[in-house]
Amino acid sequence: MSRVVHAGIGETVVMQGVGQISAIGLGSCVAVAMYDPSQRIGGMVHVLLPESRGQKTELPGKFADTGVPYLLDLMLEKGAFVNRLVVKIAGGASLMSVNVGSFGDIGKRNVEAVRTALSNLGLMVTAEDVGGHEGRTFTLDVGTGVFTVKTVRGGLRQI
Amino acid sequence: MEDKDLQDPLLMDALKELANIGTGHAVTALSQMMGKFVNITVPEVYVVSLGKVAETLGDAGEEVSAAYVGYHGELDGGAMVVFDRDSTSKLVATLVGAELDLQDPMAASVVQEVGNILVATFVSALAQFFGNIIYPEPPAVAIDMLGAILNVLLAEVGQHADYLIVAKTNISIEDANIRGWLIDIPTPQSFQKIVGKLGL
Repeated sequence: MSRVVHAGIGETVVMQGVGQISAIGLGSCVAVAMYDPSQRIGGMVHVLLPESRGQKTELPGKFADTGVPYLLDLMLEKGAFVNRLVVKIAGGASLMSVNVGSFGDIGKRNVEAVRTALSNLGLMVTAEDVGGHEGRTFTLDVGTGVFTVKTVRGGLRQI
Repeated sequence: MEDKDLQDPLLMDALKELANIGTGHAVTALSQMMGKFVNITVPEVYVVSLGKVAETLGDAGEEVSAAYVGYHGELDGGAMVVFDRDSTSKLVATLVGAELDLQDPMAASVVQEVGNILVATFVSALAQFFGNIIYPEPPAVAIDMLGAILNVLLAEVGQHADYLIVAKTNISIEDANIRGWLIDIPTPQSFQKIVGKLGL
């Protein structure tokens, strides 16, 4: 069985060759996955919030504005080519029965912030599975380049 | 803020004590509602990185039901009660008197009712302990993946912290085979401040 590495909240994972990277139970969080098919290098960052506002953190992946460039850096360090990257995103749901917290619709804001951060780096989103009211598990198979999204009610789908 | 700042035994004991008070009140309310005896365990307190909270508490991809109350004031944070799938079905069956699909709106409303009583009582016990300087938000519920539901709470408390201090108390209604747990996660900043002030 191939190795599965979990990208927890704020964590960034990059691997090459074989294995899977998975962000389990994305609610309002957004996971950004990048893949270079030519090198079979894949990476994922599990973003919790849109903006760092200059805050110091041990987890650059926690915020969209710091996490997305951090993931790209790690991908390039590993040997991925920026012009070959396939970028897919999942998450950003609104789960609760009422809008709770001090952020408004945090899922939606996370998706917007991720899109902005990607476009600042000149990266296009190839596919996405975002919004709605359901939690998701997002997995990238580094060996095959297959991206899947799983939900409790909707089963498993490829994006 | 670093891990080691939160490993302070004084802080951990203070949170354990708070969780004990809060859960005690909460299960008394549940017990009255259900007409059944509700057991609680001694709270466990963890200091964990944001990325590991879900896996410390359970399986992030598992379907659970949960009710959440955020609170603000001198202490900021959130409390959540979680029941696994089986326990949710049994809880619903016990209270409604019929087996329901978890996607049935009626099931969600039962979860809401029970969850509200538990978390709202928990937070108001904290407020009482601190002299009413904590204001709860309206409760919210969801039936979905554990990790996804926890997002709501972690987005609130994880904004300024990479490590969190988490209190977890297990709840069970033995004769109905219902098991769940209640967690309380204050923001580390507000918790350190308030513990300092109380001279605990």
